[in-house]
Amino acid sequence: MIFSRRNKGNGTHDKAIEVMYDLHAPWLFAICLRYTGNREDAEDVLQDGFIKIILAYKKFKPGGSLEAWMRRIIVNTALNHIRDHEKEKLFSELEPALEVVPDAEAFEGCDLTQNQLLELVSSLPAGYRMVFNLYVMEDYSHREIAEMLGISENTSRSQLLKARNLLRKRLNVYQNEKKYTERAASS
Amino acid sequence: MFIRMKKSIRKEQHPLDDLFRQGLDDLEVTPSREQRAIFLGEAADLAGKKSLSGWVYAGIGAGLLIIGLVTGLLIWGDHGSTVNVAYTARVQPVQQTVMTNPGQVATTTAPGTGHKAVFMREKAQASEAPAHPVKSLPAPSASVAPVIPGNMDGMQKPSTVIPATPATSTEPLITQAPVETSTPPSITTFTPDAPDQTTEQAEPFPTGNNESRKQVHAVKYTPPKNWDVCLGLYYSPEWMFNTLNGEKFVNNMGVDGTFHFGKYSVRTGLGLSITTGSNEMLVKTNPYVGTYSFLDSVQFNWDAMHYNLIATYYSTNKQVYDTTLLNNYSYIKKRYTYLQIPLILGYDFWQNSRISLGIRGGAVMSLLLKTENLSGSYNAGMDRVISINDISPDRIDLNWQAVAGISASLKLSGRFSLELEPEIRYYFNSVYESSVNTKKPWSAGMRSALLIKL
Repeated sequence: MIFSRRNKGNGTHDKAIEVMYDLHAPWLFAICLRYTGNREDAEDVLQDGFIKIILAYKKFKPGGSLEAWMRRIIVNTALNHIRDHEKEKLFSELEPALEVVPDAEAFEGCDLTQNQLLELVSSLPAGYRMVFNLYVMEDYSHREIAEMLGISENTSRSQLLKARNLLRKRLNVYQNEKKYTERAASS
Repeated sequence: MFIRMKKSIRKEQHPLDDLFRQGLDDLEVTPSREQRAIFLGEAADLAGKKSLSGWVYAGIGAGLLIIGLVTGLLIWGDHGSTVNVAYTARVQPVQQTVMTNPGQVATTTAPGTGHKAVFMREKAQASEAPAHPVKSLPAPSASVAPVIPGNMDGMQKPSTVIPATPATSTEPLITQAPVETSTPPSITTFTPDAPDQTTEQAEPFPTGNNESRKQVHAVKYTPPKNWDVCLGLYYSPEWMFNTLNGEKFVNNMGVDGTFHFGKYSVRTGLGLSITTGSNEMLVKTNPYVGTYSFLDSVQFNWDAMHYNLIATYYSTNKQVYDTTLLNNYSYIKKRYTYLQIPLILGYDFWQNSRISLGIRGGAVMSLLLKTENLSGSYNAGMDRVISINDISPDRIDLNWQAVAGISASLKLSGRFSLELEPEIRYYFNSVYESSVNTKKPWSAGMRSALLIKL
């Protein structure tokens, strides 16, 4: 392993960390941003997560996917960070959630940039954001999410529906604004 | 990627999900240069650093093992603390015969013992005494007459040992001593309060012909008591961390007994631990729409004249509910009561007459005794409740904690003392049944106890 104690002190070790950071930090940082919703917390999560990666490199089995392994560590670090730092109750809910299912073609013409999409996800409340990211971006099932977050499957479903509803509303606002701007420009 | 596609097929397809998934999947955001520099600086020393957790656990285990061994040695390895010392001594009846003239023999009784000490008072004219010592009688078997220099003010050191005489009579000695010696002053003393010397000197004397004349007394030597047992009432508020739904505060109270031996102590007892928590309930309901009058039956009867039929309608009010199933989430407050059995070892590193400071460490077993609902169930109003399910992870029946603390004990009066003990607990397992994400709880508490010395 390149992070071995043997390489410590001869520069190889430090260089390896640097290379690894430059290679993987950008996409891992994007994950951190998706979960935390702000840059400051995302930097904390990235730093903690990367340190865990370095410390736990011995546990990584060479046959597996390094990216998937790193991704899991970063996601878990982000979840713990949110849980530790979020003052308000993450999954409090008393009112039921009813999903408004959008048309399949409703978002076909949507031309939001990646940063705008990221902003939309970041604007979600922490509980919605966690479930939405885990379900949509990480492809976990509701059962897996329930186990990870210590909540029920129904809560996970409810959080996802609410997240979708909120995102849909904000997307509609965005699209209406866009249409209005286009009409104004054409007239 | 293949796995993701496969999983996505099983999942419901949702255009919104697809939009975000496609848009954000390959998103990259470069962290700031400052962040990079900070990380590289911190990470430079990390690789190759061995995780300390294993060593910490090993250290705690070794510490507990050492404390246990020391405790065991002190408790079970010290059977010899009560020493049976067999005195073989000349014991005479309580009788005081003091001869004030020089050269005479005085017999007196050692205070508090009932044993008679026999000695010869030194002649006043010590300088005139011959150099040779008193001719002593042959030493009888197992007779002991220890010499205590400290009791001889103004006397010469004893030069001989007076043999044992029959316990019932001092006559032989009294008569022999002046006759045979008649000259040099000599002192022979016997003090039964000096067991060590007696023991040492008892060995060389052979058992012999005077056995019938001696008396053998077994005297138990008991060292000063350096242990005690205390009974205590304690109360310990505890603040837990890494729990769900902010269930942090725990009340612990109970009775315990502490066995102190020197600086060490072992404490155990029975206590109750009471905490509250909120459980999330999923209530499925059908919304209430309204009420209508449902016609059950119509009865026709002739009127009195039998000209007209009178209809009587029988109906009941029927409530109508929407078929939509609503999921409602509510929280029910519950109280959990645990039985706690601690086993705490202690070492006092500083003690004075009133205050002692020490460290405490050990384990506590918590057994869930009962769970009570404190708040009422979900109020659905007019809606129809289809099902109510408890969806929060419940508490496990048994958990173990490691406890470490610093103890300060203040003696209030002869038998009562007050003990304060800030302590930290680490739970070896989560208190919840299903808690993949929940870290193992730990807690900080302050134990206060009133101790009664038994």
